[in-house]
Amino acid sequence: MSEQAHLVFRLEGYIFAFEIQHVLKVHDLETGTEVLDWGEEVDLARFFGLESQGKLNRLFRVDMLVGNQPWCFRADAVEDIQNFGLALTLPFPPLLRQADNLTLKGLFFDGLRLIHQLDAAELMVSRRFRAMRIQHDAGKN
Amino acid sequence: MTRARTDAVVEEDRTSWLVFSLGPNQLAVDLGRVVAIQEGRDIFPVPLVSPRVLGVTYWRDQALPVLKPEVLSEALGQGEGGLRRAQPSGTSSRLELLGVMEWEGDYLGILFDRIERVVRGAEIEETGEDELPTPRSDLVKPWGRYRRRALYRLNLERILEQVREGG
Repeated sequence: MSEQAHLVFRLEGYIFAFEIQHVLKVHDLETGTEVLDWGEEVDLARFFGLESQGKLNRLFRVDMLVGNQPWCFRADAVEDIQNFGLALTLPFPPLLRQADNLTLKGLFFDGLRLIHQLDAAELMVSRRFRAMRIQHDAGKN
Repeated sequence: MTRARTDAVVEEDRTSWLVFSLGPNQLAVDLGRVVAIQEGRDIFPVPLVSPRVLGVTYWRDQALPVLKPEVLSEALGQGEGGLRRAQPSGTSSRLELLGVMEWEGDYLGILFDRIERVVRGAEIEETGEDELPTPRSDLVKPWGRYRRRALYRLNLERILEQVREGG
């Protein structure tokens, strides 16, 4: 795994990281500033099957550009950009690897927290992710 | 008894077994499969993995998958119903010990309450499978009695197979 800079965000108590090269912009939705549409909005909590922690807190919207595909998602919290230089980078356990979780590239462990490193390119080719984008489009029309 | 069966029994008698307790149950695993035993640590859930997995914990520079204790309890017919999840922020298990098991290059953590003893197979009182309550699944196998309590063997190969298949 690389030690590139990552955008770290929280979703239903889980902590995830995307390489910063795929992140275009982060919007704080509480400021009231107008936020323009940016591709399809995908519910990553639903994609990862995360159980709701009781309150919906999606206070941030993150705009992504992967290849030439714009899309965005909402997060409960967004942290500083980190390069994980001091964190341990752990490969995803081979025993748990399935076609469904190829989007989980690996794990960072900083002694207290486990951060799931996401593979943005893999996400774009994931059948489930693509299906969710299509459903979103259908809902819009 | 066939020659092959006789050889298997003799091998079983010579093998050392780790006998441990998980709730009211007593289980045994071939000591050769136990790589480490440590106090329980924080376990972090991972999305999109087998529902039988509680999460992963940091162990020797790797993320070690940890089996949900309910999987074994339910296999023994004493489940609490439904497989729970660990908290995303990491959770310390109510169980004290984590055994790291190895099978053909794969590692799996199994939580339990306490170690009873390391015994030779010959020390187990053979009762015949019919005398022990039948497990609900093939993840454990009836073996006999140790200190008058029912003893089941972990079917590590089958447990890992189910985790690997995501079921």
